[in-house]
Parts: sequence; C-alpha cells; structure tokens
Amino acid sequence: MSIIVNLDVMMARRKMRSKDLAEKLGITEANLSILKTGKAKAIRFSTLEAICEILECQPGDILEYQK
Amino acid sequence: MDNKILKLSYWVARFLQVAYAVMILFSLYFLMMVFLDLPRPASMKLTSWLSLDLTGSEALPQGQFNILVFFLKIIAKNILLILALESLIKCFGSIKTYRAFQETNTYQFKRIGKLLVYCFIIVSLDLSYEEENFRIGFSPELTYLLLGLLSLVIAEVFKEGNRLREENELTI
Repeated sequence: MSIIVNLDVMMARRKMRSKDLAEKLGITEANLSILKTGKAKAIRFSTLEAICEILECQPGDILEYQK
Repeated sequence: MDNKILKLSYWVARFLQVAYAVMILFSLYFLMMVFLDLPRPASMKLTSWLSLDLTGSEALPQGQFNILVFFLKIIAKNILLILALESLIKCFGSIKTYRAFQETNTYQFKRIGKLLVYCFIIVSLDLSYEEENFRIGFSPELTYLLLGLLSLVIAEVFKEGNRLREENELTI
C-alpha cells in the first residue's frame, strides 16, 4: 500500500508508549500494533481525530503518501 | 448457536450419508451377485427402499456390461454425495461457532459445487451395450447441475463475506 503510517515516529517524538496511547484511545494494544505496522485496511475518522488530539499533531503527520 | 434448524440439518446430512453408504454396499452386493454368480433373488427389480437413489422402480438393465455401468454409476454418485455432505457438515460446524465467513467455508462450498457438477456428469452419461451396439448418450439430470452451480455461487458470496469481515476487523 502506498499510504505509510508514521504513528511510531510521532509517538517517539511525543515520548509516548503504545500501552498509554492505546489506553487513551480506547483500543487494544494489538489493534494499535496493526495500525503502526501498516496492516490496517482502514482508519476511522474518530480514531484519527483522537490520535491527533492526544499526540497534538495533524493527520498529515501520521499518514503519508508514497508512490 | 442454539439453532434447531442447524441441528436438524446436521442430523439429516448425517442420516443421508449413512443411507448413501448403505446403498453403496447394496450396489456392491448386487454387482457381486451378478459377476460372482452368487445366488440371486427371484426378482431383480429395484424395490421402493432403494427408490430414493435409484430413480424410481426402474428395472435393472439387461446384460452384464449394462449392469456394471448401472451400479458403478450409483456407487460413484453416492461416493460424491457422501463427500459433498461431509463438506456441508464442516460448514455447519463453523456456522455454529459464529465463524461462518472464513477461507475454509469458501473452499468447502467450492468443493460441494465441483462434486455436484461431477455428479451431474456421471448421472447424465448414458452408456449401454445392446445387440452388439455400443451407445453413448447424454440425458441431463439438471437438479445436480443447478445445485452445483448454486454451491459455487454461495462460495463466491462467502469469499466476499470473508473479505468484508477481514476489512472490518482491520479497520481501527
């Protein structure tokens, strides 16, 4: 897939652990891992909104398009 | 899943498997009777208890070749039906555990479809040898073909269902 998820980069910048983020988002660590590793087929706007709010960033900081 | 229809279907499928297996044994017995010269009953007409599978009270075809073809067709058809029922029973198991949309069910329905199409070919093929004339005919038994095609369509539906389930599970 040409959409790259840079969630782990953003998490590292904000020094946030997977466990904490998953807890704040209200999803399991397994699902967060699916998102981080790019295995996810889709992301809900509500999840994206919550991630942006918690990590204080823009959707473009998390998602990137590469040819 | 506490589904009475599912349970009933399971037992009906099992019963039919046993019935088809019994018919195979009887067909083998008839064949041995003819070819090994075992004592024969006075009448060789098929009786009602076999009519479920032997298309009514049809008389046995005359001549050893015709008898051989007749019973081999029955045996082959029944084996295919037993295998198809086994696949169907496996599908019941997964539906019971709420895992209907998965790869294995797609495979099982494809298998059922193929087996029923083979069944259609076997049943429809008419081979006979009468008065030194060998005849090959084709009298289509469309029920098997339709059921086979229906199974193949259901397999495609399950494939699509499986794709949607995966997509749903991988949406975060």
